[in-house]
Amino acid sequence: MAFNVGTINDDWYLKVTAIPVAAAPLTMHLLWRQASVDTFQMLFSMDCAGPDRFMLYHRLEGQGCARARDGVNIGDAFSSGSPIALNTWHSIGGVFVSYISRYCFVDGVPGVEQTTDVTPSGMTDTWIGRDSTGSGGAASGYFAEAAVWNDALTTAEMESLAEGLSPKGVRPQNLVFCVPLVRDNHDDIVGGLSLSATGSPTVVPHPRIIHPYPPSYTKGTGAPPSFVPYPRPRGARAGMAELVGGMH
Amino acid sequence: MASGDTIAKFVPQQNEPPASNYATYDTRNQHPVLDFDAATNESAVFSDVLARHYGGSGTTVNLHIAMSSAEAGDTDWDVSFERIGDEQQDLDSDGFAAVQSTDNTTVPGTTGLVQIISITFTNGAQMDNIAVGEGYRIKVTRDATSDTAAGDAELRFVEIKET
Repeated sequence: MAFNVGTINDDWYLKVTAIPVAAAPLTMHLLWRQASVDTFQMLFSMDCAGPDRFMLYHRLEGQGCARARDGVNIGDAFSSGSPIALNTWHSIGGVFVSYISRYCFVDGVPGVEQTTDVTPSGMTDTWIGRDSTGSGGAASGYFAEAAVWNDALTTAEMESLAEGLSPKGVRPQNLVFCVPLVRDNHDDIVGGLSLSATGSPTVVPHPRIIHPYPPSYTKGTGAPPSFVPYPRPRGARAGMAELVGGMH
Repeated sequence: MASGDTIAKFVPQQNEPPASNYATYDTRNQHPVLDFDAATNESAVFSDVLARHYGGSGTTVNLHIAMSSAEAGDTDWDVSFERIGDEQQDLDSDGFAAVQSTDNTTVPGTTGLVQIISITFTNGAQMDNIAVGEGYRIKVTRDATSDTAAGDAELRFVEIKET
């Protein structure tokens, strides 16, 4: 089940007072199904009360946008390709390569590189369905599989996400925030953050998703049991040395 | 390998959803499940390599199903195999054998109770002639347009055993 934030007038959203990564290189991605064609819908943001932020948003033109903003400059990278259609799940991503390079991906297709010198800093909050500027740009529709990496993913990796591969299966060693939004659970299963819901968001059918999984194995005569890795436990950071799993 | 022994088993996380009309991932009391709609025929697909200890006497596919809300009515299920094999199936197209079905299974009187529904396959054409050591896919479809139970059906496990 995915997360329905209603219409732009509902101003329902998820938020946590923490950010998973503070500076580029980083990648933000989620799956979004918009319910109404409204301008400037804030989809996913790491920001603060001031202007500084990394965020993904939607424009009336049907484009996605990956924005980096600081106290001086705004760097908006727009998507290219087909417009974001209504009532269909789309992959929306922002790859912030450096302070002078960023791209917006929609359905695995990159837009033109944006190169304005922007260095956001001091962010404090992570939002899904809105940002700190208020309800004026609240998003409509459904969200699922929000994720942040502390590195710039490649085009091939963004294509994998667009094909439906779970963020858990894309460069997991750099995955620092993953909120699948299955049913009414809005926990970050990688970084251990717990987002709070505002308003009355509801659950809706989850989008098509392919989970990474260990092979299915059935012991035949004389065959040894296999080791099955468990998902990284909550609170564990990417790169932590750990051995988790069980005998199968 | 003996009759009744497990050949393979699958859980919801192993679903390789089709491009459209796919069963959707969900949880129920933290149990991962795949939701099959009540109005549209939706499918889940799993893949594996046929275990070398399969003895050739056919298989039984056991679907472990709970209902989201229904406590009356019945469900219909279609299952089919696709042999990938050794230069047998072009991955760019689908080649599932004809479905085998179990229809009109009355749902449990309590939602959340998991019911095991069995569908049998004879060796050979019904299993798309998969040989041991060959890759294959299995597709599970709820025939929702024919069955009567309201609400989603939740697939919890799939087991393939030697009949």
